Amino acid sequence: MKTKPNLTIQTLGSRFLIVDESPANDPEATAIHTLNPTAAAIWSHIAELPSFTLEQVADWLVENFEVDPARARADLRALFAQWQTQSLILPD
Amino acid sequence: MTSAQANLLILLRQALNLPQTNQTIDSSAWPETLAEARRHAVAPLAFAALESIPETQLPADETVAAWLTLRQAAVRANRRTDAAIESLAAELKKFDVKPLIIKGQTVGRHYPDPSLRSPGDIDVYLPGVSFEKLRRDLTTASIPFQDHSDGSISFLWKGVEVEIHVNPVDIATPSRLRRVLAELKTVPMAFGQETVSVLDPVCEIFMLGAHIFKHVIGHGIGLRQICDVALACRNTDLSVDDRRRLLQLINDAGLQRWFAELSSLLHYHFGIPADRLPSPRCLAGENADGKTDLSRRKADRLLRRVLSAGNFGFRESNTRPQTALAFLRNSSYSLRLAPRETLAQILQLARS
Repeated sequence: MKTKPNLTIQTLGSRFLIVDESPANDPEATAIHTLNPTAAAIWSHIAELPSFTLEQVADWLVENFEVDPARARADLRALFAQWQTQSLILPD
Repeated sequence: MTSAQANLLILLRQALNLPQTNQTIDSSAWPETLAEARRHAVAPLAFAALESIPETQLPADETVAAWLTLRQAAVRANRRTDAAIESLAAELKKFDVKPLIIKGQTVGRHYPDPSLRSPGDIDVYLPGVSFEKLRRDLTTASIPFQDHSDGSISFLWKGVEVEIHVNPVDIATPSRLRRVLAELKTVPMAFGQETVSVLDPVCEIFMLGAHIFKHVIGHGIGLRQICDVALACRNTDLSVDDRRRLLQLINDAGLQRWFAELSSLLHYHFGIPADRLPSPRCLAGENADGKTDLSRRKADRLLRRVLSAGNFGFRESNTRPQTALAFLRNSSYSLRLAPRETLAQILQLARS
């Protein structure tokens, strides 16, 4: 997987927003996605990577946030499914 | 003044790097503040100031998202409008015509981030081009156009409305207009690969002030236009000769009292220092010895009119009053400030 190119990140205090200038390839529309702090940390990490797998991100999450590996995978699966629906992450 | 209006003024001063007051944000009024910002066409600009608001006082997520959407729309619209000016200038160059672009996009250069100024249409003056020929050329090129009551012509160019004006300044008194036109100077400005003419800083400040007067006596004016003239004044360091020229233009147009009123607003509510104001007495250097025509009363009176009007008179209902009715309703105010120009504007409207 990889993050959609040309997204803009807007932060306001601890708020983390992703600005998508072409949702569903409509150049006149803007989609705004508000992320909670954990989702924002995950996004900041994967946005740095040329591509990633769920397993790689789960390992990073376990290593950096001391979460249970099974819980990390389950939460990531749900989060990535949502981001795929929103076209924020794309297949390789 | 409502909490939302007070919030908006705080945000605008912050976004424009103007001196701050000791007023504080009322964080219970964010949705109303966004509505006010939209009504005055300054929502994208005001968004920039949210970055300086403490975390605990920020608007709710849905308000932030709606606000951010407006900012992004302005950024896109500015890109489109700038590209349309470049393309129009390139097209006109083929006919040896160099357009004078007035108001709108050219004022953006005074903003900390020009892409956050909500764009309008492209206002153009074509020196030496007859409107009869322009109509023929547009017809030949199969470009539909519209004739307006003030003699201007508008058409769409690359999806953006272009308005070709009869004159580059909004002065309706013919003898005064002739004197003002004789004093106008222009400077070049680049849009992409093309160069257009724009009014020089002195004439720009005059033109913005005269334009606001026309709308104050008509539909009303919003905060975007006030921000335009505030920034043009703040960013322009007038030499002694410049001050003399600006004073001459104001005197020629008979708008001394109006510019004193406008300067009072810019000084007391936008923090523009006295030595940067287009107030006749400040320009004549008379404010140093205590003589000044700035007054808090004038500033408050004009601010009330601006806040109640919104962008070109769009009130809560989002409908515009009839132009003639608006002129009549506002005439008692404008007649006190510039009687001849007010009557000339009303007569021009009646003739059209």
